[in-house]
Formats: sequence, C-alpha cells, structure tokens
Amino acid sequence: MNGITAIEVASTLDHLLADHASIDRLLHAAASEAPDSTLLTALDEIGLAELAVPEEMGGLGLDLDQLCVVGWVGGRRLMPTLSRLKMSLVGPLVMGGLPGAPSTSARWGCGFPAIGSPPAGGGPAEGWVEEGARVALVVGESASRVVDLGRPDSVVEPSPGVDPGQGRGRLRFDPDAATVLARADHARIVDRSRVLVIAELSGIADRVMEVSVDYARQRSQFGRPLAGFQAVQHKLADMRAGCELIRSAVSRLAWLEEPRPELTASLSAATVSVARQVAEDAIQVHGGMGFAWEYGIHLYYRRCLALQQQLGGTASLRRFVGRSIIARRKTQ
Amino acid sequence: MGLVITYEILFEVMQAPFSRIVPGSVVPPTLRVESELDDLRLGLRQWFEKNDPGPQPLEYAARMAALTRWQRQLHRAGFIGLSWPTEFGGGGMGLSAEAVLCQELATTSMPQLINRLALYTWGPTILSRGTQEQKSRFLPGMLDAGEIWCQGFSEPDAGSDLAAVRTRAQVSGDVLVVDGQKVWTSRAELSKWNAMLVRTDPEGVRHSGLSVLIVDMGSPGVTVRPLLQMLGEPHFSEVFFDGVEVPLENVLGGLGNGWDVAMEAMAYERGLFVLERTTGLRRRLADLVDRLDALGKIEDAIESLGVLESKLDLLDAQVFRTLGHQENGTLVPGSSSVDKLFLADVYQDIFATAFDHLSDEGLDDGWINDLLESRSVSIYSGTSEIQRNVIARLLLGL
Ligand SMILES: Cc1cc2nc3c(=O)[nH]c(=O)nc-3n(C[C@H](O)[C@H](O)[C@H](O)COP(=O)(O)OP(=O)(O)OC[C@H]3O[C@@H](n4cnc5c(N)ncnc54)[C@H](O)[C@@H]3O)c2cc1C
Repeated sequence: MNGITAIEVASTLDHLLADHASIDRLLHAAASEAPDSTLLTALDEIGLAELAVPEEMGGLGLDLDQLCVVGWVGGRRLMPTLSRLKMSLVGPLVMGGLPGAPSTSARWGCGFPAIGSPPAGGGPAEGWVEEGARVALVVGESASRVVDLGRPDSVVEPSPGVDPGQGRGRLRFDPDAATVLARADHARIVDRSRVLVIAELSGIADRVMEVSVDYARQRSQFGRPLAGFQAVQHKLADMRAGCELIRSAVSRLAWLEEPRPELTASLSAATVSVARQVAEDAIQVHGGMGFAWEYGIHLYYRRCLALQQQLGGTASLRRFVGRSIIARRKTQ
Repeated sequence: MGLVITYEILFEVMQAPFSRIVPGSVVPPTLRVESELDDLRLGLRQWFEKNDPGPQPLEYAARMAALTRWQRQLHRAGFIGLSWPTEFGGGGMGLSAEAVLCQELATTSMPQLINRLALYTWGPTILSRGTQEQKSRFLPGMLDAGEIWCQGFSEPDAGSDLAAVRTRAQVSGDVLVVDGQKVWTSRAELSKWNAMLVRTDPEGVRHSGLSVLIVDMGSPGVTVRPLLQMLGEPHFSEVFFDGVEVPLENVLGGLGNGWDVAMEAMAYERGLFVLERTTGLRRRLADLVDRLDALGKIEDAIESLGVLESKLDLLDAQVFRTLGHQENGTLVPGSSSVDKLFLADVYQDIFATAFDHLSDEGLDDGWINDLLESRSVSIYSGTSEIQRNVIARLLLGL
C-alpha cells in the first residue's frame, strides 16, 4: 500500500477540510449554490480519487473498510458529495479496467435517477458535476454507465435542492442517443455507494452530536448548563446511542466477505433515519441558534436529507427491504 | 375495606376535572362554530373568489409587502378583528367567527395574516390589560396592518429562561429609558411596535420587577440587525436599545406586572395562533395527497396519510377546546402547553412524511422549505422541553 495507511489519508483529509471547509465557507457555498472550486481541486490533489485504485494501477489500493474511515472523516467535515463519489465510485470503476473510461484525473460528474424521472429509468439524472466535466458516471435504476457529457444532447441545469452547497445539477440526456463510453458493474456500484453513504452518515452524526454536547455544556439557562437538565441529557443520550448504531452498521458492512445488497439496503434505510433524527435533535438542543443560518447546524441536517435522496429515498428502500423478506419467506 | 368502584363513583371521577373547570358541566366546553356563521363563511368564500391575490412573491421583502397589502384589503372588507369590540374597529362577534376566518383562509389557499402576532396575541392582551387610551391608540393599527407588531422577549442569555431578561428600563420623569439587547425578534425590521419584556426594577429578582413595554421601533437609539434563519431568509433580528426613551403610558398592565402580562399573552398565542397553523397544515396535507396521486404513489402512502389526518383532527379538537375555555375565561394555566407540544409534533410529522414519500420523485423547494421550517416549531414561543416542564409543574403539580 505504498506505505501509506488509511489513517494517514484520513488525517490529511481532516486537516485539509478543516482549513478549506470551515462552517463559514460551507455556508458561503450553500448561499451561492456552488461548491468551493479551490476545495474540489485540493481534494483532487491529495489523490482522493486514486485511493481505491489498485497499487499496480498507480492507486493506493485501499479496501472498503479503509475507505469507510476516509468517508467518515469526510462526513464529519461535510466534504463535497462529488469528491466522495469520485473516491468511492469513479476511482474503483476505472480500477476495474473499464474500457473506454477516462482516467480519474479527468473532470467527472456522477448522477443518480432524477427526481421525477420515469421509474423505468432512462430519463434525466440528478447529479454532481465539476465545472468543465466531460464524462459522468450515471447510476440508473438498473444499469450504470459512463456517459460522454460533451455532446449537445446532454445538458446540465442547476438543481440545488436541499443541500445547495454541493452544486447539484440535472443531467439531461437521451439515453438512446447519448454516447455511452462504458457500462459498469451496476450491482457492485450501488452496493459500494450505499456503504460509503452510511460511513458518511456516521461521520455527520458523530460530529453534530459532539457539537451539541459541547454546546449544552457551555450554554447556561436557569443558572446551570443545559447539559445539567435531564431532559437535555436524554436527548443527547439518544443522539449518542444513534451514533453508536450507525457505527455498528458501518462495521458490519465494511467487513463483509462479499456484497450483500439486501442487508446493505436495509441498513441504509435504518441508518439514514437515525442520522436524520440525530441532526434534528441537534437543532433542538441548540434552540434559536439551531435554527439560525450562521451557526450552520442546518448544514448537517441538509446533508442527511440529501443522502436520503441519494439512496433513492427511504420509502423505496423500505419497500425493497419489505419485498425481499416476503420473497425470502416464499422461497423457504 | 376494599374500595368498591360503583358506577356513581366512576361517574364522579370522570366528571371531576370538568366540573372543576365549569361548575355543573359534564362535557368540557369546546368552541362551537354555530350555523349562524354560515353567512360569514359564504361571504368569505365569495369575497376570496373575487379577490384572490394568487401566488405570493418568492423574494422575502416583496412577499412581506404583498402580505401587508393583503391584510389591509381583508380589513377593508370587514373580515379582520371579527371578535374585537366594535368601538375599536372590530366585528363584535365571538371567537368562533375568528375560527371561521382561519379555516376559510386555509381551505381556499389564501395567504396568511402578516400581523397575526398583533391580532392573536397582543390585541387580546391589550383588550384585557390595557388602558382605554392604549386600546384606542394601538388596536386600530393592528387591524389594517398599518402598524406591524413584533415581540421582544428573548435575549442572548434569556431564551428558555425568560425570567433572566436583563434589558433595563429606568423611570426618568415621565419616560422610561431602555438599554439592552433582544435577539430572534421576528419581523423586527417591518414593525412599528415591539411588545418587550424588560426589567424595570433593578432590585427585582427573576419574575418580579419586570414590565411589558410597548416600544416604538422608530425611536432614536433602536438598532435592528437582521439575522438569517435556516432557509437563509432575514426572518428575525438582533435588536439593540441604547438610551431609548419610551413614554410611561406605554407600560402595559402596570409597572412590575410584566411576568403576568407576558404569561397571559403567551396563553393567547396558543388559541387562534395554533388554529391558524392547524388549518394551514390541512391545506398542505391536501396538497400532499394531490401530489402523491399525480405521481401514482398514493397507494404506498395510505396509512401514513391516515395517521396525519387523524393527528390533525385531534389537534383541532384540542385547539377548539382551548378556544372554548378562552371564550369562557376558564383556561386552566398550563393546559395550552399541550396545544403547542402537539402542534410541533404534527407539524414536523407532516413534512417529514412528505419528504419520505416524495423523495424518490416529486420533491420541490416548497416541500423542502416547509420541512426545514418545521424544525422551528419545537423551538419558538417556548421549546417542547419547556412545554413539558410546564405540564409537569402546572398540570401535574410536580
Ligand atoms: C423561528 C423563530 C422565531 C422566533 N421569534 C421570536 C420572537 O419574535 N420574539 C422572541 O422574543 N423570541 C423569538 N424566538 C426565540 C425563541 O423564543 C427562543 O429561541 C426559545 O425560547 C429558546 O431559547 P434559546 O434559543 O435561548 O434556547 P435555550 O434556552 O438555550 O435552549 C436550548 C435547548 O435547551 C433546552 N432547555 C433549556 N432549558 C431547559 C430546561 N429547564 N429543561 C429542559 N430543557 C431545557 C431547550 O428546550 C432547547 O432544546 C424565535 C425563535 C425561532 C426559532
């Protein structure tokens, strides 16, 4: 592994994000509905996209559990979604020796089935795209492909949504006419992407929980710290318990011998709800501060909601999980 | 000897809490919307049909201006202050008339009343506690939205712990001189009047020595610094007071009675204020049904929609009971905390459910904003934790 460990990568990333992705800068990105381009470049420069590429192909060859550590750090610091996607999906894709796929250093985009697209897939994709992107990995309902964005039949329109600092856009392309550069291993991509989302949720929940505990210790009302009220303690305890649960899900999935799509979907649905609750409680514990723009607690909440969408929505995940247990009973 | 529970005892136990509230009544009073109000309802519908202002501007300042115009128009048509005495420009009717207005505004998707804090909270408080001069001076401007009101309670170190307010007002001749800072004051920049809780007796401890002052926001020494809320809108402000002079006659309910006046105001905030929210939620639930139906997603949501509808019905029942008590002057202290606690629960549940069901497809900015905004309902006008504390203390005596 070139002698570099995941912990070292994670710590480099943490420092970089601490410098370049302070709450103030993230708020600025959210207000201007675009990620900080110097941040995206800096993240490319530390080789995030090469982390999962095998050593023989010039990457760092990190395994899933190691990527999860990096993803967790990214979650804590609200790393731009596109960078995480490049790390978890684009890199490994290129690693798979996908013929026709450009190198990770190219400008990329990454899309998922768009809100409002017909369920059969094919329609527009909702995604995150770098300026000047030439190619995008489009993870559809049933297939994933690398698409050439340089053609006139594909269009990117801004679609900032709930987490506006991410520069999310809507990729419009005609699936029949677009140039498909390569087809990817769809099941594997979906699975991996979900595991990394859970790792990110774990980081988000941990961070916003810690921030809340600190705030409750430091803010006083009725002559004592908020943390001295049992009602507040219980809320913080629920948050902490939630963080532990999400962490358990990450460990469970990161160490699987082989992919288990149903378990991954099921744990995604469960953890995204827990993380969302943690972020909601964080707002509550902060009182008026929690609802204020400038304190930025809402950024954690927004990211949880955006990740829920990226997972395909809890309703459809739950249905998927429900259907799989029914199917299992029937075949037994 | 073991206690034999007879039908009579049971009946007495069941009656007890109610008969304590209204002697002799078995069924707790609840606001009844009489059929005489059918005419009002019909009149409103016809008027709305002719005067529908259409969708409101998205931009904050433009929206506020449009809402102000809207209330003025409604007032000219005679629909504002229905329950207020006619001598102050009101309609001289009961609270149920106000309830009809709330319901009709919501079911016909009309915009909200921009001066609702004045109409639902401070107007009634002035009617109950104010001098004749205060009633004549302040009430008419509330109705036509010519004078918008804000409420300056919270301070940086006094949020949930309202009795910790430090903003001072010192008597000097026939004025009070106000110094200090308020925070999170909603719509401060639009307001003419600020109903403030201040410390008028520097020796006063906690709940004593406080007064409610009505402060002209245009006075020299008032500085408003807008704060952005979660959606990035300048909904509330920090307000600084530096030697601001306020005439003594602007004290509401007497010097040193501020805590009682503030608590009475908070109780009004629970009645029509909550009803207005409830009816707004009904409209959004209807929107959700339409949206899911259009997407062919309704089947998956039936049970969730059922949960939301019955929660709304229960919230309505609770609010109508509170309004009934308000009309009869029998509101038990602390009981309206139930309204606020449950409002936050229902409010947040509706938009969270909408997000869950629409998030695969069909989520627009309106739903996202409502979800984010819903998080404030368990914070403003007393957090949910504080409502539980009040229920434990006042209703349970713990
Ligand atoms: C959208 C919005 C509009 C507002 N508009 C106005 C306005 O117009 N005028 C105005 O005066 N104020 C306004 N406020 C302020 C609001 O009233 C306060 O935010 C609220 O009272 C909480 O105070 P705080 O923010 O200081 O939080 P804190 O009091 O610091 O509370 C932080 C957390 O600690 C909990 N907590 C505190 N004490 C206890 C306790 N004893 N037991 C258990 N838990 C406790 C709280 O429940 C909360 O979860 C507004 C707030 C919002 C969000």
